[in-house]
Amino acid sequence: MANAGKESRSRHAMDRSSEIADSLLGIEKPVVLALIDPTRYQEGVIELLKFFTSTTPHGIYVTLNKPFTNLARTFERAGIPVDTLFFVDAVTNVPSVEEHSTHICLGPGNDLSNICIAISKIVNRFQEKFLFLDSLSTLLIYNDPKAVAKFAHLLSEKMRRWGTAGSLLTVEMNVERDVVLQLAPFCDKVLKI
Amino acid sequence: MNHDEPKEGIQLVILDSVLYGAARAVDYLGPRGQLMLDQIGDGIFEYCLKRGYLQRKEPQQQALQLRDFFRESGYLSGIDFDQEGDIITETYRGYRYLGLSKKLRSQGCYLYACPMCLADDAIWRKSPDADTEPRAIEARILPDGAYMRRLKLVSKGSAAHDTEAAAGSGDVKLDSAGWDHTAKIGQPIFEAVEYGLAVGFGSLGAQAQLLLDNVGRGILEFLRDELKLELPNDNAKSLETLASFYRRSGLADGIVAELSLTRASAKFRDYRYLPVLEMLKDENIQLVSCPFTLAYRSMLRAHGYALREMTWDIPNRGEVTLNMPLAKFSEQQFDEAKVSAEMDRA
Repeated sequence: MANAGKESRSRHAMDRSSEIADSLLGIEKPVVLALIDPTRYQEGVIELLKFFTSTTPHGIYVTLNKPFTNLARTFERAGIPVDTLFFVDAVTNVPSVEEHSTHICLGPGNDLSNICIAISKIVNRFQEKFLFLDSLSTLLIYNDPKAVAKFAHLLSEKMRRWGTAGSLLTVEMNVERDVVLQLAPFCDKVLKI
Repeated sequence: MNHDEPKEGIQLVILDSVLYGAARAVDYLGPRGQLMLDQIGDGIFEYCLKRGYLQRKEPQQQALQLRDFFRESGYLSGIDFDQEGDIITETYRGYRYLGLSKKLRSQGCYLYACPMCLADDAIWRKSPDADTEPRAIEARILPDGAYMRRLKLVSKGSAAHDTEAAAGSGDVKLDSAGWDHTAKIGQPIFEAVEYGLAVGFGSLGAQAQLLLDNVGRGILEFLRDELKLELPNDNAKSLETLASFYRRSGLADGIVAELSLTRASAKFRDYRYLPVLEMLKDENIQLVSCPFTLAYRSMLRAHGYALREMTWDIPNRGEVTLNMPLAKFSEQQFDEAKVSAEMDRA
């Protein structure tokens, strides 16, 4: 019975990934602003990530919410090819920047500017890649909404310049609305997941 | 019928303000908001199991234990229970949730935030052996002020989730005692709700603190509406007002809060939130749900402060210190052109 539940969830995730693919049809290297339902945040992330990993060989996953080790485990269980992902971890508490072949932990250097620079350094490692930022909402805890909007605007601009598809995630929250409205014109699509 | 007044406890206003804040923080989601509150119920149930307030038994027995636990903690004065076939009729006397229920509805919020009922739903939802679960089909206030609800046992997962509107609670009229904000509620209930609040939004990760900060906004709104607690414009005086209120209401025997341009801190003596804080730290959960802290954070954010990571120092059980570095939003600059150039160089 537990397996049936798991299979059903996996099928549902694939169905949703197909829906995502349909809504991005015709957009080459889409830059997506994803508005995720907080009642099913993890599922929404997995569905969106499945779409990107199925269309692009490598991905840069910037995590501000959960340590990359937790995410890697969750994604593996969901059938996402974790070995195609490079994690930029801005949440794990380390005393200084730690760089490895599969991830980089920013430690105390997890402010907006350093996140941008870290992404720039990693982006050149891969020919074809996507960028996944999880999430803009977390940045709002510590930063002025105007600064977060500028950060997101810069990142979306760079993604276009690099020819990189990707998604900036936000959780659907009341306070988010101002940020979402500001960013919508700079993205190819706003997806509600 | 008199409540069992716990010898030591927290004033009802603290619990109600937290539940109000939680409901208001997720109300924008509409009926989906109930799913978020249900997660708090999961956390309440989990805490009660971990602390031994509930024993691992089959769900019907746990549900009865839960009601006893809430009754003994002063959340209601008595429960009558009757079952005929698959219809259960429960009557709650001296039910402390009624005041909050009325207030939420007056704000257009139809989410259900009773901690006992949220935990009750969790018992049935989490039980792998239960193939049925109770669903509310009727709820009303009786002429003597008691709250009666009828539930039908249905196949698990078959019924749409109920909110207060679906339960048809009708107009809530409080009994003659009115809404006694100073009534004492047992500390275990407070702890369970606080733990539930912190872990309930845990699936969101670190960003859940944003939602919790919105709970803080709801807490301040509640205190302003119900107790006319107005915070002065001066941040330091506001902080002292909040600290004084929470001291009087039983959150801690002593709260000393300090504020500078770069740091906010609070020292708690005999802090009732400590058992929750210790459990969260043991489980490596960084989220904070203390009502004073959430209200404090919300107040500072409203005044243009960005709050950095909170750190706790617990030298001994009688004394706890919270530190939060601050920065003014207006001083945070993100120089897009400069960062863009650095990115290009990288």
